[in-house]
Amino acid sequence: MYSYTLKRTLGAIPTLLALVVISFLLMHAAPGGPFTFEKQLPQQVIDNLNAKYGLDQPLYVQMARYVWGIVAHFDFGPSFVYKDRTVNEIIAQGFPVTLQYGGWAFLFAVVFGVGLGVAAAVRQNSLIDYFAVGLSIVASVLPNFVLAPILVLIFTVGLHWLPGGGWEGGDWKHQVMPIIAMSTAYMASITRMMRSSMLEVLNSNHIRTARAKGLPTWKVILRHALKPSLIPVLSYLGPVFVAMITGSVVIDMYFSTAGIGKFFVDAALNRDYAVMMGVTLLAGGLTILFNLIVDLLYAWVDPKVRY
Amino acid sequence: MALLTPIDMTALAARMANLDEVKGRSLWADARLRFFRNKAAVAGVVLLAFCATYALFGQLIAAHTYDFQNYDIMGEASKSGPNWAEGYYFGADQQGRDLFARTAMGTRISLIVGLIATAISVTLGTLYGAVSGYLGGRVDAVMMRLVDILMSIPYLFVLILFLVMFGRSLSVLYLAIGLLSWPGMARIVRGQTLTLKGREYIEAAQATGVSSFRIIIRHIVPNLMGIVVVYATLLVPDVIIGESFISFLGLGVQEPQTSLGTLISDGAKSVYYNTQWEIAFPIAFFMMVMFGFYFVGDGLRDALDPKDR
Repeated sequence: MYSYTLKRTLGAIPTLLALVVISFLLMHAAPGGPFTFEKQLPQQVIDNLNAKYGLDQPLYVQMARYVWGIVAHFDFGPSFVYKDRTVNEIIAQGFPVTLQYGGWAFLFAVVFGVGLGVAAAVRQNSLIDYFAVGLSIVASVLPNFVLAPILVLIFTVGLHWLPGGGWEGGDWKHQVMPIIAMSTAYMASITRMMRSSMLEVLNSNHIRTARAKGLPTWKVILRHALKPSLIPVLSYLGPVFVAMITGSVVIDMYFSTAGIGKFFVDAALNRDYAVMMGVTLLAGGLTILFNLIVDLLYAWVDPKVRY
Repeated sequence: MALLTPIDMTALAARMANLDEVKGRSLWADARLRFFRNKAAVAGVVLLAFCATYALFGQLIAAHTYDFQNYDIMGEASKSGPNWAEGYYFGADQQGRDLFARTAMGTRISLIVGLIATAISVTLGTLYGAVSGYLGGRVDAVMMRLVDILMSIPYLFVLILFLVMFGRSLSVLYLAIGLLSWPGMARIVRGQTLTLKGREYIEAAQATGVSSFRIIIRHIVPNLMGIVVVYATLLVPDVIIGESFISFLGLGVQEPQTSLGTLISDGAKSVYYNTQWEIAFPIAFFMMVMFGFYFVGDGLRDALDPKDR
């Protein structure tokens, strides 16, 4: 187990490095530098700026510095647009907010998706099954940017129950709609997956044996059916996690929550490549980390996986 | 056998000759039959046909062009609602432009981006997956490692990065989406290629000295078509969601051109002014397109991929 964990962790390092190198090269392939403004700066000023940010060095030196900065000091360098702020500061300000409501959204999608899927499979062709299937079909065409305005229309404009935006230090009222808007489509997918894999598992031999020896239904489901039927859902958790981070772009723009998405879009509009790269790399790194955790969970859930 | 007289044999031969004409149901004909028996799939086809017709001809029927600004109703919620007498069937937006014409334009752009980006993605993914799976060994390991890396990149962030770097235009939009969304397809195709690789006809082709490239193009890819068609249909809605997401943020196609995402974004910004028609019609068409592709995709999967039934 330990050697498997170690091997998988080491295997993630080249992936991360490749991500850094690809994004660095992409950043340099872009037409126009960070100091290209509508009003042309004097050449001397541009040279000085380039020297200050180390952009006058050969490409491989710049890349080595960038990579070393991230690996050794977790330093993503300075922002190209805000002179007094580093990318680290911007990430430190926005990421906790994104992780807070994103984490709740993730939990919401997984708990409700799995619960509803199990309930639908156990009571196949009952009312709850029809409800689950119907909900998952409707919700699969409701991505966050469609659901968010619909929620505001109902709960803010219509019923005056919830505020239509703002963060207010994470007050729960400000988190309800962002969480629902982000997680509903993924909850629907998890419900659908969970239902079909649970149905398959419930028809298998070891469940029949468990029933035959007289176990109560809830024990059969919790002890014998839940674990194997979670396998397809597990491999879907990686994409859901990524969606919770990238989804914050829409949520932050629409609900004015102060997450990382707002900074990302601002950076995109200002051509602040350093911030964009930093956020992209961080999200990519977290994705790789998360996939690693899922792989290790796999080994625990699925006895067929060999280390 | 000994009981059969020569006369019987002739009759049998004649009957068999007749039977042959009735037979002849190919794999695809069989699939078509199964597809059209599926009510949801047929409903999907009808929905898509309706949206495509509207996208193609909506602007011809519209009483106003998509970029005409009517200053009399501009910014006034009480006057810009749906009004059949004035030709504003879906109402007007904040700038006093006809939403019927604009929704037609948006649906058209979203469909175009969806179809072209999917075509790029499917072509790349199929070739990559088929080559990787067919060649196998170390080449396969390296190629699939690259796919793993690409799949861990946050796709929507990089898409925004592309658009900022190479300028915002329709062609950059579908090229970028197409170039970023193929790894999933490549994985599916590779898996399928691995099962095809061991078949006798591939072995026969290898034995007669056909080159690897020719085997992939002539023997592997045509046999992948079933699974490719299914996943392509299911990829289109994902691509349209991606495009609408970008447009929602104001980073997609530029004014006065529009897409469903831009229209939803405009409508979303003005929900507080009681102009619900501004968001209702774009969302309705967005959902119709999504439902259409999902139903057709599901129907195709049931019809072409018997494993899943």
